[in-house]
Amino acid sequence: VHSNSGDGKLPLLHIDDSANDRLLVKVAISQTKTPFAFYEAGGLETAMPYFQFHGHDGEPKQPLPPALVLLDYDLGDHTGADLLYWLRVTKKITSIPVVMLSGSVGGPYVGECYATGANYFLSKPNDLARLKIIVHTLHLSLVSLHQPGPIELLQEYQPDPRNLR
Amino acid sequence: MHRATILVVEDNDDHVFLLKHAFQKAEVTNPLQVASTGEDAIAYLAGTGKYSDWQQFPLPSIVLLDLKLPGLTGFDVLKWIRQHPSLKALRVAMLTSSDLSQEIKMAYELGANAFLTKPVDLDRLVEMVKMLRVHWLEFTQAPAISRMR
Repeated sequence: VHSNSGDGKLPLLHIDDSANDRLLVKVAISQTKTPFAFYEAGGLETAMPYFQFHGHDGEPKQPLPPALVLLDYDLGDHTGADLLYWLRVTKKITSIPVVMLSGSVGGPYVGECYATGANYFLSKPNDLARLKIIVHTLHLSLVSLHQPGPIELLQEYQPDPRNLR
Repeated sequence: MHRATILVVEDNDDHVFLLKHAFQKAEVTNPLQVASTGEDAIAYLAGTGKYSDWQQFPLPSIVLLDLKLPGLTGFDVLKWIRQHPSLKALRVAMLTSSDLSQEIKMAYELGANAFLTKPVDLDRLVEMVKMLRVHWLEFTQAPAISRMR
């Protein structure tokens, strides 16, 4: 069973350095009434706590771990692949589904992410209509296709993912 | 137009039959190739032995890999793919009849791109194939992979 927020909604964590892109995903979820509980982070530092016990602002009641991570490849100073790698080598959270997003098409990083264990690699859509379709089908895929693995919150200190590669 | 080939690695003929049927019902007309053992799958992907005709046996865009195979297991094949310099980006969905959490964990640790439980119900199998098509053949960016002589 996927972790859910108590109201049947699956926690979705969107990690993207573009506040505008995060807002678009939030709107797409809202307008399609897709049962995701939306959480967001602008970079690696703010994303890390979502995988640990205390949550973004030390909020103990947050319904995480995430059932799905939407992860922008280009996070400014870092790449989403760094975080993806860290997720896959961290045993307690290794089976969290991760969908990579990129504003550009093609390039060696697509293969890099699949080799590291990304579930999907998507181009960021140019319009809200397509984003709505993607958000909706991602939810369908999550509940009807992917067998959820065991996920445990990290309570102990974990190394910074940037130091792992 | 080039259509992505799908490689199914499955030793159970009944499961292969059902999967082919599900692809037809889901109207997924991509070429389907079948390997029945782990060793066979590696030979196919390497393009060696009976698979040395690379036109007849093109590299797949997706591998649906049964976990429990005679000889080399699905995990062994997955490890081989992820260690292969030119094939490591290949998209691999592990298929299994069980939903043992340790197997799911292991699959992701080894770099699987999905872990799918084979539905016993044909309608659900068709739905699964439709989802595979939408996400891996329509929405997503495909990695660049190649064989090396």
